[in-house]
Amino acid sequence: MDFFVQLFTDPVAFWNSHTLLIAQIGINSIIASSMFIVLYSGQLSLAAPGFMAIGAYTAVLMDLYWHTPLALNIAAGVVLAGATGVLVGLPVLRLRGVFLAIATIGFIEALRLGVILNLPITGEGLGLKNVNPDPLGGIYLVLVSLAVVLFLMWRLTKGRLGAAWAAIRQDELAALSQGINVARYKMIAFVLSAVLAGFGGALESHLQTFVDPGDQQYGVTRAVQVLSFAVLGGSGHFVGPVIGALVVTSLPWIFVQALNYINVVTGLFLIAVIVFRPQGIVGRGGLAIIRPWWWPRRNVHAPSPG
Amino acid sequence: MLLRLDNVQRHFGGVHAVDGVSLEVEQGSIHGLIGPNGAGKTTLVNVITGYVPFQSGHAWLQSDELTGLPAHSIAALGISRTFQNIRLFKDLTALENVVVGMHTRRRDDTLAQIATLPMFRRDQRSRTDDARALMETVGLAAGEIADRAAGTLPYGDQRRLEIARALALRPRLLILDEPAAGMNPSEKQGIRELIEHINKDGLTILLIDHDMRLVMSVCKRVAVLDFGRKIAEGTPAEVSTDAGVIKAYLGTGGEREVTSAPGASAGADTETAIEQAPSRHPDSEPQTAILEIEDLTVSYGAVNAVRGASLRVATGEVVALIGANGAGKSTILNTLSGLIRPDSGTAVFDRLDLTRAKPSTIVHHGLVQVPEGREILARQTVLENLELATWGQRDGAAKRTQIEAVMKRFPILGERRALRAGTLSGGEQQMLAIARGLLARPRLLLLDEPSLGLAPQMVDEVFKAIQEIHDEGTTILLVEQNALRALEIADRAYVLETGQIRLTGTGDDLLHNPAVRRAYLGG
Repeated sequence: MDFFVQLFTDPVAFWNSHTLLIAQIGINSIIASSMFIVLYSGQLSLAAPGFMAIGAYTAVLMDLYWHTPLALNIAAGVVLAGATGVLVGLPVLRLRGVFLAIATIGFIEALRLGVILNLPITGEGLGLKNVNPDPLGGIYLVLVSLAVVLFLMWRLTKGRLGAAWAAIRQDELAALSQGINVARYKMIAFVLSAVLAGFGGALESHLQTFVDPGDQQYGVTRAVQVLSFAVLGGSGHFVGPVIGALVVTSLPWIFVQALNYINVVTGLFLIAVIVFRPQGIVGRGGLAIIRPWWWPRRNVHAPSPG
Repeated sequence: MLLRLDNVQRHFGGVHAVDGVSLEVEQGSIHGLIGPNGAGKTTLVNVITGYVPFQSGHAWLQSDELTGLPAHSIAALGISRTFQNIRLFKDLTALENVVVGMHTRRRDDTLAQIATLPMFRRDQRSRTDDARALMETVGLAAGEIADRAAGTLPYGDQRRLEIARALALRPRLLILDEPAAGMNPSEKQGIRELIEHINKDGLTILLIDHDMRLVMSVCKRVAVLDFGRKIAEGTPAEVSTDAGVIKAYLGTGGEREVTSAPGASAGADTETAIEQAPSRHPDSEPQTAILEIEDLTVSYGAVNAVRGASLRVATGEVVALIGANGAGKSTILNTLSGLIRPDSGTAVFDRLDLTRAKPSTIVHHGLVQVPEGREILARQTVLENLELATWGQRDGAAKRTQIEAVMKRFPILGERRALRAGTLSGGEQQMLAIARGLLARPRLLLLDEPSLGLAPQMVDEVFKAIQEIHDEGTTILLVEQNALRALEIADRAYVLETGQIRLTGTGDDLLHNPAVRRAYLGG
């Protein structure tokens, strides 16, 4: 439990010794927000790692060949991920539920195994060296980006767009009867999610010395990890997946003695949440779970009759 | 004319669901659309609202052509609808549901929100006020339920909330698809007043319902569909005396049902009923019973569904348990089947304590329930459904003879053995559910609402089948909302009201007892 002892007794030392962890939590939170948007609009899409790969490779390659500034590299990665999102979304958004999940897994594996591992420019299976990494200094960029992303999520879910997404998630046919263009709003959600994933991927590559085309980075393993953020934290409120990312990313550092069995620990944790709190740690209430007892309640939900 | 349909057709495979219907709905009127089960009413609504594409024909809303438009565009043009089986956004609050309905008349405020402009806040407040006002219009107490998840509201409130959500669209035409389904007469009266109230402000309504009395009382004009064709149209008086309509919709003997259904001519009877109501006379109950329920109390959380009910069923009887929606009828049956555990009281079936036994043990002991809503496996064939019912038995040959026997009992099932159960009509599905119950070789058969959602002719057939099963020696406990039909075939009956047994007597006694109506109308 050194982790918590240090966190509470000496935050400065904690920051210095866990900079990489905190940066990774920030990046995973951005990816989790990408997952949140699709789930919030009722689409079980696992395409995030594919868009991350597009963002990452684009940013690193631009730096390598054209020596463009960081902001431009990231922006290019985001735009390319968004454009790919439109192309992928057109066919696959006709699918629902597990069928959509399978199709998006098809997309990420086709991209990784078919394209990235075969193109000389992406370094094939060997990966790509990042010539200008900034593992420690990048954390400020990550934290500022996360703050902006969370602010956007908060505002988007409050307005017309968020209301339309929630309606579609609950019942597509009823949403149609309210004049909501379901196909259009699903596409908006899918492309926004692609943009965020591309942004997260580009940021991540900036912190790393090496872009690794492995499965745990841009493959199904990563997709499942991202999904676990949302399942653990809950996908009814934008804070949920971020809390999920925080927990899942920190677990290996908290249970450092059990590092060899960390997947077992994470799995048990996941099962416990699914059994005891199926709506996720946060549920629909958002930050209400950390509401101190003296803080006034906003929405008083009456008990439901049987 | 607000809505004009011209020769609309829609076929599903060989089935002519809508077959050349032309219809005109006048601005500001309440137009009725009726017809027996499977007449194509809901399909016609789905075609008008864009859920199902046109095959041929045209439709206009004033000067806007609807043909070929997607559903959301048609909604945006000003046609909003409710659904036969309520489709609220269950996890959103009641208020959020209504706000979603304002989607089309709300400008895209994404940038305003991101900039957190005060404009957004102000608009949001006016939307919330609008939504609350709409909830009050349809008779919901916005102050109490606005922040509750829509799925947790009582059934009647959900129906009303769905209407509020449809009104939020500010439609030119409102289509109500069976708004009073599953309601008791006093709740139906409330829905009727609501429909008249929202029509008074000039909103045109197309009303689809099974309940003839509701449609006849509020509509200025009524169109009648049968097998996808419009067979009559006119004022309620004209339609209700049309020979073709009576034959198609009401079946034989249907007129009696319309004139004598509970609540049809309430009023004077209701007052006298209270004095005349016979007190419980347990001496009419049998001394030896195969099923004995004593002082049973069941609750869901804080809600008491059944409060100290006692009843008995003797071997060879048909006993009916009647009462309005929510009286606790299904709760009693589910308790007997071991699906719900009671708080207190005893229930004994042939020396087996039903309050403790496992559901599977109870079935093996010979107490079999045919559940409300039939619960057949829609994607399996009829034969597969029946085979599954004999799953517990090992002797293959015996299974086959049993299945052959029930197919002889219900010849229609034999004819359709290879069809998927979901393609059967409602009445045939009910037969299948009863046949499945019989395969478990019950000594006591519990039937929960066998007439639910069936057109009158089908109700006749189902009740005929129940009578025959009884004649063959099966004891039956029958739960029905359709009290008059249940009392006709019952030896004895209990009237349940808000979880308590109010009356008991022979079927004939209660059939002519005006106090039965009181149990339905809630006094």
